[in-house]
Amino acid sequence: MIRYIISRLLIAALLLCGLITLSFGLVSLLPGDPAVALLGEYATPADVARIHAELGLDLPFWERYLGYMSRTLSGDLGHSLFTGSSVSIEILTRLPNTLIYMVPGLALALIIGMASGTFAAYRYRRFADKAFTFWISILMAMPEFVLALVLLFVFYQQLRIAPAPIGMLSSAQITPPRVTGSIPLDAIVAGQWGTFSSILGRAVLPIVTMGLFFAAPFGKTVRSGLLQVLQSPQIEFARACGLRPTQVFRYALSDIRGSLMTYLVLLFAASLSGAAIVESVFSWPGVGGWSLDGVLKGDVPVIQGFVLIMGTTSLLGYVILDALITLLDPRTRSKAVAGRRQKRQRATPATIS
Amino acid sequence: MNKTLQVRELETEFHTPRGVVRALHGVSFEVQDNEIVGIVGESGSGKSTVVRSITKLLMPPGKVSAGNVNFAGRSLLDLPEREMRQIRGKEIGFIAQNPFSALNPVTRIEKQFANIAKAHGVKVDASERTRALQLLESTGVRDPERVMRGYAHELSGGMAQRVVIAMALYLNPQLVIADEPTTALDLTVQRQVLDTLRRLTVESGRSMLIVTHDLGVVASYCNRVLVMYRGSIVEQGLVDDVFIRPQHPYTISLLNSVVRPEDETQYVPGDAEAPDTEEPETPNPSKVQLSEARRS
Repeated sequence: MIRYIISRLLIAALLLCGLITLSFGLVSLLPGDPAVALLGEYATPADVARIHAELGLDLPFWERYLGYMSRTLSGDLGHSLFTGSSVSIEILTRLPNTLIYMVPGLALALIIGMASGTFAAYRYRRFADKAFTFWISILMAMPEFVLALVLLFVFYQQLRIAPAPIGMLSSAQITPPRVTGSIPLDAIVAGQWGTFSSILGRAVLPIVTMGLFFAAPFGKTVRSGLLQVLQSPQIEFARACGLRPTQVFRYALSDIRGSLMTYLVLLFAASLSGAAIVESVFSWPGVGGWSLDGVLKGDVPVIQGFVLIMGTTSLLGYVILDALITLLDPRTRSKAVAGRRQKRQRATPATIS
Repeated sequence: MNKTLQVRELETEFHTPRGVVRALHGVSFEVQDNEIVGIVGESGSGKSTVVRSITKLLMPPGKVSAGNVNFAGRSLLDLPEREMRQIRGKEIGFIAQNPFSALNPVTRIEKQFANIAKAHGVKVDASERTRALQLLESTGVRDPERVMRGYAHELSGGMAQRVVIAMALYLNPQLVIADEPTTALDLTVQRQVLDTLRRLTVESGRSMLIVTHDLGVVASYCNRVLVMYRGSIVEQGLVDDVFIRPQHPYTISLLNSVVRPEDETQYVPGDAEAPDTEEPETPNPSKVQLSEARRS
């Protein structure tokens, strides 16, 4: 089993190298010269050459590639061309700000999607199911930022129960002393619960935006998955044995949990890229808004850093997912373990015939 | 003899977007104590629909529209789902067609037995487990202890079907309904499983309703037979009577299609026919006409 997980991790490491190569390739794929982006249209050739030398762009391809690879693997993602700040440090301080609304947002999507999808499947073709399908279509047709703006309009402008979308901290709040560099974490470290709960309060609308936005496709997956499995011979037999509805539901869920988990990880990867839009709307100081800024300016190290962090997080998600699915299902689990068992005792009696 | 199950004028419909499909036209029959009744007929004739209508396992858009099912003094069609659930598994055991698609693939066999017990308010303890083990042994499972701790995918088809049979009989039902219990199995295993089934049902004072398209199974295991064709029972009676002196043209052509080594095989001509979409009155079973294409 450990061997299986290690093999997954090795594959992930290989993929990571591929990802770094890809992010390196971005520099040459992107239109425009970073030096020109920095200096403007009317830079002299001498200035351009100076910047090229500074950025190491005058070195041969392989040298640049290997240098980038080793720097990236050691955790140095370079510096922003415009602000000069370290990309690694920016990401480390901003990532918690993004996760603080994204993880609860996805959890909310999971809960809403699960509940409504199940309800719709059990009320197939009845009123509740039709209402569900109607709302799902509306939510799925709505881009993230429209949803965010609608929520802002209702809860901030009309009902005045949500805080203004001006970031994570209001000016009235004391900024916690800098320890980790990330404001929510520092607030916890300093024990400033007022500040922390204010951050959470401001995170509510982004959380709801994320929750609703991803609940729609997730709920739809739950509904169609359940509909299929509820018609299956397995569920028929469970019902024929007189199992309670809750037991039948648990059987059905165990059948589709693999595909649901896969879908959730896909949503997580998608939500990272969606973060840019949500954070722009709420002026949230996370990785999304920051990277969007970088993209618009052509700030190559920032874009590379964002691509890497997104890719790595998704990769990690898939490794965990793969391991979980394999270990949860006895059919694949026995295969994952079999390699070791066979070595230990060659004369294993075959499975019962 | 007492009647375990009495079905009267059962009508089942499927409400599809293209109209109402009438799957059963007034099906009436009974199963007596200690008796094996076989239902034969081609695919689409309504055999499985009968079984699912009785146990109320019919999924939407299927719906029983009329009739009466009497089981052990209760009218099943009038029972609320909660009470029906108590009957399923405890008083009526159900044996599925394909054991691998019926057993839960990710739950240990042991746990699946325990779930059935729990669902019917039976306390799950060591003696219950022993009972399940003995039952597995009596269905012919080798090494029941190991099977109990394992999963469905570790079993062969025959063993898995024995596990399904053991689950169906676990709470000692009076009536066992088997929907093509041996179709998914090897020919050699079919006999063993059927022998086991017979031993554990009628020889232990239970009754069994068995759906099959195998006339050989009916001939060697059933007391009585129902012949279904296009949603109606066109003929029913003691197996010997029906097989030796078939009355309905469909039964005759069905019997002629049985492979006999000595003569040339005859087939029932044409494809299985779809049930009628609109047909206002319930036809008299004996008057169900063999369609033009099949009269050959």
